[in-house]
Amino acid sequence: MISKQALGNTLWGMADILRDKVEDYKSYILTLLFFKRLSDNYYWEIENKVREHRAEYNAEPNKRQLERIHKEAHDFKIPEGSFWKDVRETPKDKKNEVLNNAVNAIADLNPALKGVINTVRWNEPSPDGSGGKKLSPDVLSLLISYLDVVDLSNKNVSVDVLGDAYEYLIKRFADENKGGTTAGQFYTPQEVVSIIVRYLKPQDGDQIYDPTCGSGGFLINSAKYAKEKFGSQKKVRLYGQEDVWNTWAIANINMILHGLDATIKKEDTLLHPQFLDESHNVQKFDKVMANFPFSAENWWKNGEPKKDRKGKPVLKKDGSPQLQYPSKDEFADPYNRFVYGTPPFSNGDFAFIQHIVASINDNGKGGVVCPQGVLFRGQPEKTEEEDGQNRKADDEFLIRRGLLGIIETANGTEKGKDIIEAVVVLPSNLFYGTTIPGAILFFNKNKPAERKGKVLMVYAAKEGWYKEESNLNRLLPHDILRISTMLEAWGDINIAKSFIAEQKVRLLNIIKENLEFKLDEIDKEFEDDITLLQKKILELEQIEKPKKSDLQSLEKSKAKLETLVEKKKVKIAEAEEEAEKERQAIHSVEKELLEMFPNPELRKRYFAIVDMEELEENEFNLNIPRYVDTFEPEEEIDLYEAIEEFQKFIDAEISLTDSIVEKFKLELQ
Amino acid sequence: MTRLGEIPNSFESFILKDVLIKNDSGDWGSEPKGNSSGIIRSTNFTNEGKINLNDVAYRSIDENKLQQLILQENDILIERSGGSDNQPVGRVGFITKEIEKRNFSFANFIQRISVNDSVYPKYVYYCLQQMYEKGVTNSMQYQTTGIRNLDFKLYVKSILPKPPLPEQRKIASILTKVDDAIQAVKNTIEKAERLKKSLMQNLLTGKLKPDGTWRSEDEFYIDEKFGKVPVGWEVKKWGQLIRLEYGRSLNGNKGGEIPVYGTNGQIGYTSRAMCNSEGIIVGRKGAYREIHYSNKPFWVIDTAFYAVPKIDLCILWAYYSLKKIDINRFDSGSAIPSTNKKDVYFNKAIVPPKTEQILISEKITSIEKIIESKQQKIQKLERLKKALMQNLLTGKVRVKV
Repeated sequence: MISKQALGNTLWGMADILRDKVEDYKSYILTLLFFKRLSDNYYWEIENKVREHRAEYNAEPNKRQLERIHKEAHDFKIPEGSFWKDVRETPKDKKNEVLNNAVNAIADLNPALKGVINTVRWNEPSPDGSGGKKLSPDVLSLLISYLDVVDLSNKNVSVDVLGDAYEYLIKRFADENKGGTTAGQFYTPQEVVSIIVRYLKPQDGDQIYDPTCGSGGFLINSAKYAKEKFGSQKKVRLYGQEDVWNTWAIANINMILHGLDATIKKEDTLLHPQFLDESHNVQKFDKVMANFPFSAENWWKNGEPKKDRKGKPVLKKDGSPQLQYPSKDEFADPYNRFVYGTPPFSNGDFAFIQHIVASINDNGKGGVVCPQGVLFRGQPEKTEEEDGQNRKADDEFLIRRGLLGIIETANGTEKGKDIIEAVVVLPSNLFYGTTIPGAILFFNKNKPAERKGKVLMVYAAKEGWYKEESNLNRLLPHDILRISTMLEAWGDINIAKSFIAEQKVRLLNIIKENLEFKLDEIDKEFEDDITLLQKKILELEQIEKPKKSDLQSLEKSKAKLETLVEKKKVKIAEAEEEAEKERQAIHSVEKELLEMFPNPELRKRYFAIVDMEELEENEFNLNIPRYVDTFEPEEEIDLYEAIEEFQKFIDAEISLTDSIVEKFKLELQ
Repeated sequence: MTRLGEIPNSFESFILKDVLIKNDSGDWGSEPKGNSSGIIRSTNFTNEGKINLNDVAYRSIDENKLQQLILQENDILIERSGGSDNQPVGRVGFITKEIEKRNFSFANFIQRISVNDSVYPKYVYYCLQQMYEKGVTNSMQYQTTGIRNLDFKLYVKSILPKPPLPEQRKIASILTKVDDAIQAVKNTIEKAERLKKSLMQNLLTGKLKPDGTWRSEDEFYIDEKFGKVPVGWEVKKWGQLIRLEYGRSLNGNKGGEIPVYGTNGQIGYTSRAMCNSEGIIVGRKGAYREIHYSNKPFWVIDTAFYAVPKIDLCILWAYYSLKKIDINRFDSGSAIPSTNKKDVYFNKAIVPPKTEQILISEKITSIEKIIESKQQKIQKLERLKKALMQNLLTGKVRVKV
C-alpha cells in the first residue's frame, strides 16, 4: 500500500512532463490518471469478487458464476480494447488516437462518465493542418510510461488515499497558478473550507449544496466531516453545479475517486440553476456552502458595450469595454430568488448571495466566501440636508438590510427574519486568483432564540494572524483554531475551552500530515540526483585499473553526493522545525484565547456580538472596524519615565551645543 | 581646481584612487536561513551622510565572503546604485567604532573604500559628502534601467583638497562636533515626542488632570460601552461633535498667505480662505490619510474634509482627540482608499467640559512648541555645518593647528 503523500508526489511528477506543453494541462493529467485508475481497478474488482466467492462458498466459481462476476463486479464498464494496457502497447504514432478512442468508448458505455473521462481531446490535430497532434505523441508516450509503473488499483491504493492524492494534485495546480485567474475558479484553500464546514456542522442525512462548486472542495470536506462524526462519508448527500466543462469533469472525478455519489451539474448558476423544485423555484438544501466568483460583472449577460456620441465604444481604464445595462424595473428573476432587491447587473455578489439564501431550507444554514465589499457597499437613503442631494437607497444596501431582518416594502419597512448569523473578516490575498480581501458570511434560517437579532462579528485579518507568503497569504493551523474558536464559542469561554481541547488533536494531526507531505516532497526532489550519483560512484569504484581521470571523477562525484545529502538534511531539518513551530503556536493560541475571552478589553479586539440597535445605528453597515477594535493598541508610555528621559537628553544637548561656540572661538582663525 | 572648488596655494590636492586601500562592492546574500547577518543597504543611508541602523536587513551570506565584507572602523560607504529623480546616487556613510562592533557587512549596490595614512579618513568622508551635497555626483550618474548608477571609475578620479594632516584632523573634529550636536537635538525631539504621546494618553483619557495631579479611582464612572470615564465628562459620538464638509479644488488661485490643505497636510498657499478661523482637516482620499490642524484661516482641497463643530468645542482639543482615531483603518476592501464620513462619526469620544478641554490642549501645545523650536535649532545647525564644509574643506577659512 502506498501512502497518500508518496502517491500525491509521484503523480505530481506528471506535471513536470506536461507543463507548458498544452493549455490547461491539469485536465490532461487528472483525466488520464482517472482512466488508469478505472483500468487498474477493473482487474482488482474481479479478483476481489472471486476472493469473496471463495470465502463464501469455499469453492472456485464455475464458468457461469465467473461470467456473472465479470458482469457485476464493476462500478464502471470498460469495453475490450479500451484498457490502459491497450494504449500502452500501441506504437507511439497511434497512441493519441487509441487513447482518445478508449476514453470515448468508456464514456459511451457509462452515462455517468460522459464528458468526464473524455473531456480532453487527446487526438486533437495541431492547428496548422500539418497532420501532427496538438499534444505531441512523444510527450504522451512519456506520460504514459511514467504513470504505467504506478498501480492505482485498490490493491495498492485505498479510496481514501487516492481521493486525497487527487485533491493534493488539485491544490498543487492551484499553487502553480497563484497569481493567475484560473486557480480561484476551481480551488478554495482547505483552511477556509474547513472553517466553514465545521461551523455549519453537517448532520446525518443532510443534503449539501455548492452552487459554484469548482473541483468540489466543500462537498468532499463535508463528506469527510460526516465520516468523522457519523462513521460514513455517505451520511450526507452532495449536490454541486459548475459552469466550466473541464472543472465540472474534475469535480466529478474527484467525487468518484473519493467513492462518493454526488450530483454535479454543469451550467451557469445564476442564469440556469439546475436544481429546481416542481414549481420551478430553486431547490432547498440543509447546508449551502460556496466560494462564488467575486464581483462578477454582467452576471445576467444583459450588458451591452457603452458607446459615446460618435458611436465608439467607451473603454474602462484596463482597456475593456464599459458596459451599460437595461433598467432593473423590467427585470424579474424566473426563479424568484431576489426577494430582498435586484442586485446591480454590474456586480453579481448579491445575486449569488441571494441565490444561496434562496437555496437554504427553513432550518438550513449557509456559509459563503465573499468579497468584503458586501459588508459595506451601498448607501441608505439620503436627504438633501445630509448629503447635499436627495438620493434613493442603493439596492445593495436594501439587500443587506433585508438579510439582517428589515424588509423593504411598498410602504416603508417591516420586520422580517434576520438570517445573518456571523461574519468573519479574513486577511487579504488568501484566495487564488484575486487579491481582494474576503470575508465569510454565515446564514442561519432558524437562529436559536439567544442569537436572534444578533450578529457575531469576527476579526481575523490582523497582521500576524496569517502567514505571509510570496503571492498568497495562508492560514496556519493555529490561525484556524483562533477563528473557529471565536465562531464556535459565541463569546462563551466554557464552550471555547472544550472546543479548543477537541480541535487541538485534529490540528496537531494536520500539522503531522503536512509534514509528511513535505518530507516526501523533499525525498522526491533529491531522489533522482542521489541515485544517479550513487550509481556513478559504484561504477567508478568497480573499475579495476582506474585512470587518473576516473579517480578525479570519483572524488568529484563523492563530494557532490555529500553536498546533496547535506542539502537534503538541511531541508528536512527546516521542515521539521517549521512543524514544531506550528505545534508550539497551537499551544500559545490556546493560551491567548483563554486569556482573551474573560477580558473585555482584549475581547473587543477579537470579536463582537452586535445587536439590532447597534446595527441600525450603523445603518446596517457591517464594516468590521465599526464593531471590533481593529486599531493596533498604542504603546502605553510611563509619564514619569518620559519626563526624566526628556530632561536628560535636553540637558546633554544644551551643553553640547553650547560647547560648539567655545570650540569655534578656539579653533577657527 | 578640485571637485570641491578652488583651494589656496598652501593646500595640496590628491586623487581619490591614489589613496585607496580597500575598494570593493558588497553582497546581498540570500533569504535568511539559519545564520543570518546584518547588511547595510541604500535604505540605511540618509541624505545628510549618516547611517541609520533602524532597519538593517538580515540575510544569509557565504561565510568566506562575509569575512571579507565585514565593515571596520574608518571604512567609508558610497551608494553607487539607486537614487531617484530628486536624489542622486553618491550618498556616503562613515563607519564608526560603534558600527564596527555590530559586525555588519554591506549590500551589492554599495561600494566600500578605505584610505591610506596620507589622508585622514573622517576628513575624506566629509569631502565626499560635500561632493554629494554640491551635486557633483549628480553629474556622474548613468542610467541603463530604472536604477541610477554612479560612474565609479570617474568618481575615484576626483581631485580633492589636501590640507596638512593635522588640519584635516581638526576640520574633521569640528564637523563631527556639529554632527553630534545635530544628533543630540534629534534625540531631544524624539524624547519630546514620547513625552507628548504620554501626556496625550494621560490627559485625553482624564487619568491626569491638567494641573498635574492624578484622578483617583472614585473620580471615574463606568460607561457600558466605553469603559472608564472621568466624572463630569460625557461619552459622545464624533457625529454629535463635528460635521465633516467636503473641500473644494482650487482654480488657479495660487500664491497668498492662506494655507491650503490636502489629504496629507499643507500643500501650498492661496489668497482666499474657505474657513475663516482655526480648524481641523481630515484626509479623505489616498492610501494614507492624515488629520491636521490649522491655527488660522485656511483652504481645503477636494481630497480632504474640514470639520465644523456642532457644539461649543475647543477646536485644538478636538484635533488632539480626533487624532487618536486611525482613519486609515476604515477602507477595507475598496479600490480607491478613502475616508467615509460615517466611519468617523460613529467613533466615540469622551468629552471633558470646555474649560478642561482648553487646559488639556494648552498642555499638549506647550510640548509641541518645544519640538518646533528644536526643529528650528536643527535647521540652524545644519546651516552652520554647510557653511563650515564650504569654508573649511576648501581653505577659505583656516583652522588653528
